[in-house]
Amino acid sequence: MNWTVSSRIYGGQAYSAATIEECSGIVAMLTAESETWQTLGVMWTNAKLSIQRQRLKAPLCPAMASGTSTTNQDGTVHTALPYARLNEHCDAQTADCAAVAARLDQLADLLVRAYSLYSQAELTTQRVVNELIQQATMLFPQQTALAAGALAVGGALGGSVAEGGVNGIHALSSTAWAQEGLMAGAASLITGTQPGIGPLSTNEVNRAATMLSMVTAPAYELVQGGRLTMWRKEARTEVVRESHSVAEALESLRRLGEERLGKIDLDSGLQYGTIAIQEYRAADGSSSWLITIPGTDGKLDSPFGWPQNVELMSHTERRRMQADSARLVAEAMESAGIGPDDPVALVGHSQGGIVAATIASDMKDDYNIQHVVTAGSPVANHPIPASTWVTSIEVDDELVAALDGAPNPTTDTWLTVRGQVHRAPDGMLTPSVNEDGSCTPPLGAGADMPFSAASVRDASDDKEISHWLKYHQAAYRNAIDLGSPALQRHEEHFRRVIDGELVETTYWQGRMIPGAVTAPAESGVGVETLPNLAK
Amino acid sequence: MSDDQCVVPRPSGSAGTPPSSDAPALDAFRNVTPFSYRYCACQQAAIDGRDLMQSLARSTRSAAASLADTVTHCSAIGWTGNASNLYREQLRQCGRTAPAVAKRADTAARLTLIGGTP
Repeated sequence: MNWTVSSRIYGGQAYSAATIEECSGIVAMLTAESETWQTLGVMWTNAKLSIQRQRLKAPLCPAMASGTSTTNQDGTVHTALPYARLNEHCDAQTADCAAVAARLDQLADLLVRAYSLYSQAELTTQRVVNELIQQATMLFPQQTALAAGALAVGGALGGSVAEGGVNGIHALSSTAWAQEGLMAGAASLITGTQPGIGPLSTNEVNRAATMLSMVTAPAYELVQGGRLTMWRKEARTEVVRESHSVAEALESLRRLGEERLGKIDLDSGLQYGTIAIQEYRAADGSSSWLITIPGTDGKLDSPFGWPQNVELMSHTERRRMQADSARLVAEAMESAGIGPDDPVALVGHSQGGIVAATIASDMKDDYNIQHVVTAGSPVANHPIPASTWVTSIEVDDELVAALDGAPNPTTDTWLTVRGQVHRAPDGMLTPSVNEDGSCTPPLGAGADMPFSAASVRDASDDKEISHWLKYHQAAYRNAIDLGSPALQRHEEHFRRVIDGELVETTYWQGRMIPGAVTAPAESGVGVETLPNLAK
Repeated sequence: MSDDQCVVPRPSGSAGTPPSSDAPALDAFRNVTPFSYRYCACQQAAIDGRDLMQSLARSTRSAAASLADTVTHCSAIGWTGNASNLYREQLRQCGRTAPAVAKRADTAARLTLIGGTP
């Protein structure tokens, strides 16, 4: 069984009004032609039925019975058409007309998705739905909670029945459309936002995160300690590879994320709490940097634990930069020798993406952050400057990306790829994300419309959490295949930022240390100890 | 049953035109029995079939011509990438399918002419 992801692209528009008008006109033409051919197919079906009905008008006519026209001795003519052959023709015409109509519809849809023709309408609808749910949550919290629970339980039950086994993950799919609104509503209750104020802002979740982190951060500090140690870690094998595209960077991100959690074994010796920094050198001798930041690992002494997410989601710069994971990345950037004018690109998954957005927002005066790629990260309200390009990848039912309670901004420099997960028939599509993360697959055998969706590599038969990076990779792959000019523009910008040859890949590992500042025994090249000044 | 039992001699009007009936009941009876009154419904069925096929052939030719124009116009969009290549290829394929469908429609229309003559 394949799971596939089809993508839509929001923001990052690079189209003139004339281009939009031209595309809309073409879509209208294709749709009109499709309707014509659908009608034609119905006409051929009706023709067959009509001919059969006419034959029944003279059921005992010898000509009708034999299919051969005859003339009686008295000159009476009995006429028969070649009804069997006409029926065959009608059937073939019906099938061909329907096929042409369906193909034209698919091509129109492809064009709509490539040029994001309906994205503004979809986003407006989403925002209205979010606000309505938020207001409902604030005014009728118990009823809304009951309704959301019923929706989740109904989805889980329905999905489980269809799948043939109990699987609660389907609850995420059934509530996907309401998750942002529910989050914003719940956050409004926490912060005490008055009903009616909600539509004026979108950062209720971030305000709530600030309040929550005032409790969670000190509490977790008691558990894991408040001091962060960081050192450079040598890898025995290559984990993060040279990248010259977002897709390649995502593949490296997946490799690092899974290697440090032990999901794959590359024999690198890298463990949890590790990020990678790569230096690229252009032909003119200038350096640029790519920073790869995996997501939450949840280990007790890791700077990438669960509570750090709450701090990173805060609406204040100070609180965000107190998060251990952000401090680790900031310190690693300094230790790696990134200059204030060197172009920097950050790519992160989940918490890694929030860290990337935080660095871009809060260290904009320290570094030249030119491009941020986030996968499955709730970063809609992070104040990333307009000069930094943001390419966000989200999956509809992953939940995590909806935790910000708002859709991402849609500016020229902020583009969001949103994937929708579908179950596909066996063998419909070939695996879509190559080992090297490349974006130019051959057409799969029998794949009629291979770019309608991209397959998820190594997906399980049953529905699983779509927050795994492989789903974002599939979403990005499908978006690239669509040939969206807006996405191509972002991809070209990313390539320009890390232009040149890879000079070095360094890995930086962090641990939270309770009590006295000590360096771990397996310290590598150097040791940096960082007191948590904020705590 | 012999052919003679099927119909009575052709009416004075056109061979393909049903005669006006003397009574509505006879009309209904004529449509469902071979022992009809002066006329066999097979002739009208053949005429209707011919008309239908010729009309459909005209519609199909018109749709094919329209699609050819659409394919030409829609292929000219300045869109690049994997999906755009597929888009143009499949547009061309639609453009090739449409004349074939129109041709088959013409064949069906011709069949009604050939088959209608004893």
